[in-house]
Amino acid sequence: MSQPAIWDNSHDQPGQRAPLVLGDDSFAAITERVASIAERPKPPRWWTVTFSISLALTVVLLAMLAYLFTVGVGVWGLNVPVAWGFDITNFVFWVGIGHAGTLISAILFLFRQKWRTSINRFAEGMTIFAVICAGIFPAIHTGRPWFDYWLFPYPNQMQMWPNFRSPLMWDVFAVSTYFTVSLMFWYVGMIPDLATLRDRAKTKLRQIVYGVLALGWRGSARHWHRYERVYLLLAALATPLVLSVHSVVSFDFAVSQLPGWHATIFPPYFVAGAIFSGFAMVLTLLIPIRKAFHLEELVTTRHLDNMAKILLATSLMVGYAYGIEFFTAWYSGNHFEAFTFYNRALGPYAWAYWIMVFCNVVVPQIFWFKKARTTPWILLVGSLLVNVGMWFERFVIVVTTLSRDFLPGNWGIYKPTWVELLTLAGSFGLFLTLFLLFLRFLPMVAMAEVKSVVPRAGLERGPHRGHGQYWGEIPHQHEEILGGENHDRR
Amino acid sequence: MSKAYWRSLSELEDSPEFREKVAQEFPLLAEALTDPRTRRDFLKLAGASLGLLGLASCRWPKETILPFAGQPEGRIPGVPQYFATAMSLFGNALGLLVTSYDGRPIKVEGNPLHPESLGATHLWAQAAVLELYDPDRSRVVVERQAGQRVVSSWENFRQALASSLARPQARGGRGLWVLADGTPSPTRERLRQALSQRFPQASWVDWDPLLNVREAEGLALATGVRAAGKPRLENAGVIASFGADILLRHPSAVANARGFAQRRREGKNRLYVAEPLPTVTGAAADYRLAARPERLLPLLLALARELASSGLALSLPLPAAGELAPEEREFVSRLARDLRQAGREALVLAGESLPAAAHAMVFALNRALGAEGHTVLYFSAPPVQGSLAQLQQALEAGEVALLLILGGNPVVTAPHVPWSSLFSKAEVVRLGLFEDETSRLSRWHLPQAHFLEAWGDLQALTGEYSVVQPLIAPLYEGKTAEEVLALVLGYDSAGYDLVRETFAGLTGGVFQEELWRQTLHDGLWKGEGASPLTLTAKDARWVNELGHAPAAEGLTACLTCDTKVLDGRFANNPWLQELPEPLTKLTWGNAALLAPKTASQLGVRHGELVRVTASGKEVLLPCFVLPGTAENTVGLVAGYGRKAAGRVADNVGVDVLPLFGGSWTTSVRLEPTGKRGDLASTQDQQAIDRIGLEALGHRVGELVREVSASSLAAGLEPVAKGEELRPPMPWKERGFTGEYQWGMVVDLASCIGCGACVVACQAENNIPVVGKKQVQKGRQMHWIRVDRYFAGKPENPKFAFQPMLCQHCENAPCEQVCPVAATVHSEEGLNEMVYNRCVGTRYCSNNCPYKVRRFNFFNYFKDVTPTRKMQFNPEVTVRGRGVMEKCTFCIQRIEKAKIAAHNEHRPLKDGDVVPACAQVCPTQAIVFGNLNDSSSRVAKLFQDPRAYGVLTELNTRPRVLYLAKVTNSEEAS
Repeated sequence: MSQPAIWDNSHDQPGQRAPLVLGDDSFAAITERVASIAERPKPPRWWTVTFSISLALTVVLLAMLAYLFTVGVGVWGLNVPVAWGFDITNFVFWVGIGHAGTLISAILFLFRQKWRTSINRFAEGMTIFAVICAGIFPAIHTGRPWFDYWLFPYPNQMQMWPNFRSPLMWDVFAVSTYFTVSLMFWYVGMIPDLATLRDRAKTKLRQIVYGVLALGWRGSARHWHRYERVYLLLAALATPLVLSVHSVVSFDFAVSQLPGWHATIFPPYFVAGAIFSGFAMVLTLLIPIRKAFHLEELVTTRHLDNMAKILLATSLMVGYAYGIEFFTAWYSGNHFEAFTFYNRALGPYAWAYWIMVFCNVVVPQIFWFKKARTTPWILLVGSLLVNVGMWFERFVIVVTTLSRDFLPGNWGIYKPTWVELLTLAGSFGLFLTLFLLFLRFLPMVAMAEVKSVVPRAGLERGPHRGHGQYWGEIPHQHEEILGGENHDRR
Repeated sequence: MSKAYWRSLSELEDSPEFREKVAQEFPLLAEALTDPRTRRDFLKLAGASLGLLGLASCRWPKETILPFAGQPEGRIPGVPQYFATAMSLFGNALGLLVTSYDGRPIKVEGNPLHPESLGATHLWAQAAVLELYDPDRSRVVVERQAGQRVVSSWENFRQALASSLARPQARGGRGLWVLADGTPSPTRERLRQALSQRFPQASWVDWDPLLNVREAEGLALATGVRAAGKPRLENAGVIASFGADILLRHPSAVANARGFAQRRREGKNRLYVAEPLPTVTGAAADYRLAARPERLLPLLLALARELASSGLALSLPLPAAGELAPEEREFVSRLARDLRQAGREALVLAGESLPAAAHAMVFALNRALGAEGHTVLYFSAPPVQGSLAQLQQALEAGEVALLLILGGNPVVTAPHVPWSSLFSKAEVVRLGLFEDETSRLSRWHLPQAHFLEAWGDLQALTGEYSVVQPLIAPLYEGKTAEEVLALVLGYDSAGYDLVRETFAGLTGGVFQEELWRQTLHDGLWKGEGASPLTLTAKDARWVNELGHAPAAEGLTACLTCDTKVLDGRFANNPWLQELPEPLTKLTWGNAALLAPKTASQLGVRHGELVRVTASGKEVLLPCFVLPGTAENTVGLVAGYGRKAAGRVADNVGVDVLPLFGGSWTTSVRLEPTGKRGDLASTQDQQAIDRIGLEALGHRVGELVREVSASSLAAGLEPVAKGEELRPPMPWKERGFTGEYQWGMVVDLASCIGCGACVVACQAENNIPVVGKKQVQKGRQMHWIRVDRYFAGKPENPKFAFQPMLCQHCENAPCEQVCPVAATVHSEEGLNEMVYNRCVGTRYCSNNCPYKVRRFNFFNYFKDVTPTRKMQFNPEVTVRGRGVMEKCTFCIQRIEKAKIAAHNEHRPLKDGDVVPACAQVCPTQAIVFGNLNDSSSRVAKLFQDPRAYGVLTELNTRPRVLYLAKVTNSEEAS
């Protein structure tokens, strides 16, 4: 692996586009760099350590669920009035995380943001695992989880439909649709890369597994044609879902009666928050992994810079929403509404509110500075804080509103129990376990897509030379482009 | 008997199921089994009984279980029957009607014919049915020899009694003492007289901390006759109470509350209360003075002087009242003026903590005002014999050979007497419902029969005779106090015969079966009726005693009995432990009550553990900062900290009685410890911060609306303005097609916040008790809660109560958000909860603006004992874990009434359906009925100008409306 000509591609030079991939941009080098990670006979030491910890936390999650199911929801700290606490907070938090992947792969794809190719696989994987974690919470938060299937409309001897007026019902559809489409999108996008892994497989088992997963991909022009059509269609299908899922999740609150929940701003506010938290999570995961797997040439400083900018933009949107909530509360003249926000900032949960404001509004302001956007450790710390802040945002919305609503006679206080804390920790364990398995066995960067944005690919794409135009030397390796994936191994 | 059998038995020995099984088969064995000290006895008993059975046939004993060949008359399986009975509390009788399902009493209601009940009950009557089934009730006769507890039998006791009676018998009864609990039972009185004839030298003492002994003594001082006043609040226009909780802790509290509310609704009475600690009576007052306990006497004296100086013919040599504080002066002069104006509609009352002379003064005032005969009647007080001091002296002198304790629990309620050393000097026989602290010091413990399972009788203060009718055969081997007395007398008759003999005696000597049956049916026999006494005032030497009021200095502790477990007698009743105390909303324990100002002076925070020290004794208990408490006063609540009451009550709260040494007040020191106490309050579990208090102050006026008596008299504008109750909807409204449209009205003018509705609802609807830890987490299950609000200055706040239950909104927020349609609306306007369908997302509770839904966070009925199960109402589902529940408007009662009406081919009449809360309410604050019937009470009250809804601006269209509170202070008009 040769030293790339430049490390920092985050400068904008008028008239010239910055390279999206650095270093040795030959197709073979890209394949080698990505596929070799999934092909190592033994994982690196850090992977084994992290995986053990994650797996242990997953076991903790399972133990907490077993305890919950045998004893009852009372093992959590919930009560009346605060009948939702960590459960729904975690649900909204994880669904929010699950936004970045599809946003990056679908929306940025439609907008032809080619820099997305280096990170979209990774982000989609994160989405899938986050939605899995999210899906757990509504399922386990019910008092009688063994009847959860009643939330699905299915023909039954009770002749009962679920209540289609309930936002919780809409959640079921929104999240399950989102999960299905995201999974499909992720998988379809991975087929060419799976075929590469299949072709490079050295053991029988890998050949069979990757062979089955690759669905007989041969890289023919017809395959590519169909593949790109499907990918485009799925992107078009997934795009509205990105917006709808969190809008629907926000309806859980917005459609209700409670001051602090009942607000028309919630759908866009939640979507912005979801993108915010999703990008923060992508960064949190990407920065150490990029370092650990030496992917700095594929996931360049420019990628980090771009994501930091999105973080800053969404932080401003979220901050605006925080502000406008206070304005509407005051402007409405409704004293219940006004008190709710007053209480958020000064009441018993003020500490949570101010953590939220600090992490989500104050901290991202450092991303006005390029230095912060392009220095990985600053970004890592910043994105971690945003994750914390976004978790607290959901906590503040769910808990402060419920703890003090209309009648002072029923005000209450909620304190989480150790079971809830361990369940939250366990959900991170599950998330990381799945994620580490993904890193270990699947191509974590979309090789085929990245190849399409390296300069030598761009040259052959006819007159349109858009992204990936490179100011350096233009190589002439015509046959490699036409030859497909299997021929570029030297 | 094979060895293997024994081994398996010993393995089983400690499992709860096994014990339960044994308890069902052999109560004696179970008793021995639960006490590890008597394992040897258990083996003996087990060996003997198993051996006998085993040798006989190797089978269980033969029992005859036969179905009825013919249906007994009037008995339809599954259809409840109602029996009239009566309960004794505060030395008075309360007539009851008890619902019995297939031989199990499950619910207590008031007897409308009984003058002390008028159809309602207090909360203790509601909880009595749970006491009957208390698994901790004692089941067997127990003898204690040299500290060893031995399970014995009635036969053994009978033999022992014969020998221990021998000595007193030879000496004309000298050495035989009876300590009874002051139950006003004519049979007991008859037996007492028989006892004094048989044993002329025997002594009898009545002791019950709830008896109004000082009132009787005061009237004896003033008139020479031990009498008791019966207030007639329905006639009273101006009421002055000096520390008397006439609406809750009073012999006639239920009738008082009814009378008070009747006039209050019309704005036709004014209540003045001077009291050290807030009570529900004080909370209902128009003028309330938070006065230190020492100040009550000077205030009463000042009132008398003020009245005398205004020309009232008191003709008493009144001593000087001393200096009054400005607010005291204002209170007294306003009160004096109002009392004079009210004339015979005036009424003055004093609390039990005031000395006898104060009660004499109250009598003199009432007489001078012309109130006697109109707002208060005097009847001869229930005969209370002797005093504890006499018994103590006799015990100390070794003059007591045999002490028979019938009920009560003097070891706990009178800790100033050194019982443990005294009991060793006599043979003590104790009859009690529980093998409690007194029993543990006694030689013999006898299980007492509960009033719901045994024959007895009671006489109300006003003379009505009620038979205490059993609803069920005694669950254990219990006997009543009268039956034990009969044993002593050697009568050997059952309670039934004893009562019939008494009845025959009362009704002219010959037993009249017809009259007896009528009495059983009606629940009372009026007889000639006790006529009010005509009292004549004696010399007024007692007046001088009024001048010797102790100086109000330092910190004074003021004793009060709990409003739920009373003196601790109901401590083992989980319903009452979990009932929120009306003012503090505390459950499961007591606290030191302090005024906000005093607390800050002492440097004590709300909820902090404090050390209270008096005369060398100290207690550690949490502090509760309660607005309205008198300054420099520590309110200490008796009834807690029991050590041997049962599994519910043991070590709940703190026993404060040892600080007082038998008096009502004592000078104390109080210091903070810095540690947090363990309070479980259902409201404001955390002390509310400043912004919360501000919001509360802002909202209370809107939630609990008030109108003044003068505006009521002048013709009231509707409290709910314009379209407030039914704001316009942007879409077509749902029509309701049901023939009946149910609605409820809660009159806040009547509600005194006593909490009887909470217990009644719990009894009717199988509502679980969750325990202290769960209450602290905010998971109490009561379907109806009574919100308590303070308004105004913390030194002298106004109090407001608001019963809050499912509002059965026509446009219910809960229904819309349930994903599985588990809560739906009926055509009759009921918001129905389908337990079977509920998956427990709790979304409905979140979206309910009233937060009246309750969630089963656990299976709260997991460990229900078989006896406890007998109380369950078979018409109401027992909810399992993970299910939401809430008020149903007692849908089982609605359906039952509909079926009855259907069978009689008639539509429902107004009053056919009465939910449990409405039925029990002493003040009739809750009215339920059909809104479609424009002549129904509820439909008329919906049109009342005082009617308004809570949070109607959310367009919930509640089917529960509130009637604005009526206040009658001059400031309000």
